[in-house]
Amino acid sequence: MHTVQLEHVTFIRNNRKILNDITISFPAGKTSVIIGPSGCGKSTLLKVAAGLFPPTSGKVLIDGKNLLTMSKRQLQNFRMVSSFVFQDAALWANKSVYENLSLPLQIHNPDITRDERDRKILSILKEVGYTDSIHLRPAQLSNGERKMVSLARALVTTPHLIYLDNPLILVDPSVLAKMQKLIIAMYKSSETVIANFSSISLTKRLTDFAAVMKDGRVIFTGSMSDVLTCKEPEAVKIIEDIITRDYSNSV
Amino acid sequence: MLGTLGRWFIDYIKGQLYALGFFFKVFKATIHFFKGKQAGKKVLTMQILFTGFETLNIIALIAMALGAVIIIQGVSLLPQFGQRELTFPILITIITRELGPMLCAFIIIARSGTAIATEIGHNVVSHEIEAYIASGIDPLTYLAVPRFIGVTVSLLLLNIYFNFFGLIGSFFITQFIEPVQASDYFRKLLSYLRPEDILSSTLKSLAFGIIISLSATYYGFKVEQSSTEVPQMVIKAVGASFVYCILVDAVITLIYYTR
Repeated sequence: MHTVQLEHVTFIRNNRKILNDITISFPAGKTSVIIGPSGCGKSTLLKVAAGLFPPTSGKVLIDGKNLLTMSKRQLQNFRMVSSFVFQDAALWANKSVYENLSLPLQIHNPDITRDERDRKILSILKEVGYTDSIHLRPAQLSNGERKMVSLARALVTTPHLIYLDNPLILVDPSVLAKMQKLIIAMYKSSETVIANFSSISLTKRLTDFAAVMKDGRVIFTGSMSDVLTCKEPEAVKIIEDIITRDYSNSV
Repeated sequence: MLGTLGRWFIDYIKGQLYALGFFFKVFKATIHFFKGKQAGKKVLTMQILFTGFETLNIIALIAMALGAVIIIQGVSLLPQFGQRELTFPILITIITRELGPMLCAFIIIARSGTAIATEIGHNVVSHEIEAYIASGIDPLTYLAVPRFIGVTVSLLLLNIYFNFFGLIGSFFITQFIEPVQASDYFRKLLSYLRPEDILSSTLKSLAFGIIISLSATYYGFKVEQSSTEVPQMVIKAVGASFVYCILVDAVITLIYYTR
């Protein structure tokens, strides 16, 4: 089980402060969800916490070790146990579905046999519900299929720390059901999951720990029931807006 | 005004230091590239195939045409000044020392330099670079180093290939104008070819390969968020490649003549 902590993290890009002095601790073995309006910095926070963007100032600690000062081996070990699902799938366009899944496996398990690798890839693709050819390129897939492959790529290395950046956005209902099932399985396991979901219903169902964000700041943290009953006016407004939006989308 | 100039200067220096850091990291990663199992070796093979193998036709055609033009011009113009024997030194100077490496470099800038910068730029915009990092793959080792090695090695080999076809082409044209024995022709030609010519040509193609691959990968990675930045960075990569290739060419030529 892995803990992720951010200490006074600020992230500035193109002279714009996207994250502003964030201090937060995501509990180990739990599902933490970041809640907030569009453009408040949820994805950036996830990427900073995953070490994809180095913070402008502050520290990101993985199991107490600073991500920025980790040795190459420590960083590689962190990458071996973690994975990231991107909002836009971010599949490698010049590689087939098979290659998209086999590359991380090759990197993390260089001694794995080809048969073993193929078995693992086919099994995880079946699990996410992908049934098309494994030799297709991402451009030949539908949006839903791309999301499935993206989730499969993240899970193929059996990670213990999973970052989910809105993986269910713009996914049709049949794919959504399969992907939700997998995410629920992650929730039930003892893996550490840090996520950003667009759906409040899923957030309510899966969240052990929630962080409410506004304008690059974390304004409230606690369990989901704490968030839903909190009296912090800014947080209340954000939650109400999200619930209203979610309801109108479902109607 | 002074403040703006100062900020521009500081940004410029920062940019130069960043570029130097990038080049240093690529060189360092190149040293370790062949150790152990490397997923990037497939990328290297593909790069050599694209930059080297797929360019063979165009390089052969241009080299033969250039060799032919030099012979036609030499045979028709030089005897008028009583300098017919200069045909071979001119052929060596142009094909081997000067235009061979430079033309190969220009072709590679147009084909591979643009392709590399575009591909990496799109990788950045579509978050594929972040996906590499998240999967534990160093984008520099996986994307930049194989292209650096691939382009440099390809350019070195293409230069030899260019020389071969340039000198062969001139021989075939000579047969139409004034048939000579192949052995006589090549004996004469090779008698003018000195080790310094080969060294200068090799150094140039090596330097051009390094310049083109580093410029293309560097500007590709400089794309930040928008796809409109991709063509801008490709133009910068091409511009930088041309400028630095010509400068390095001038320096090596200068050293050759002033040694």
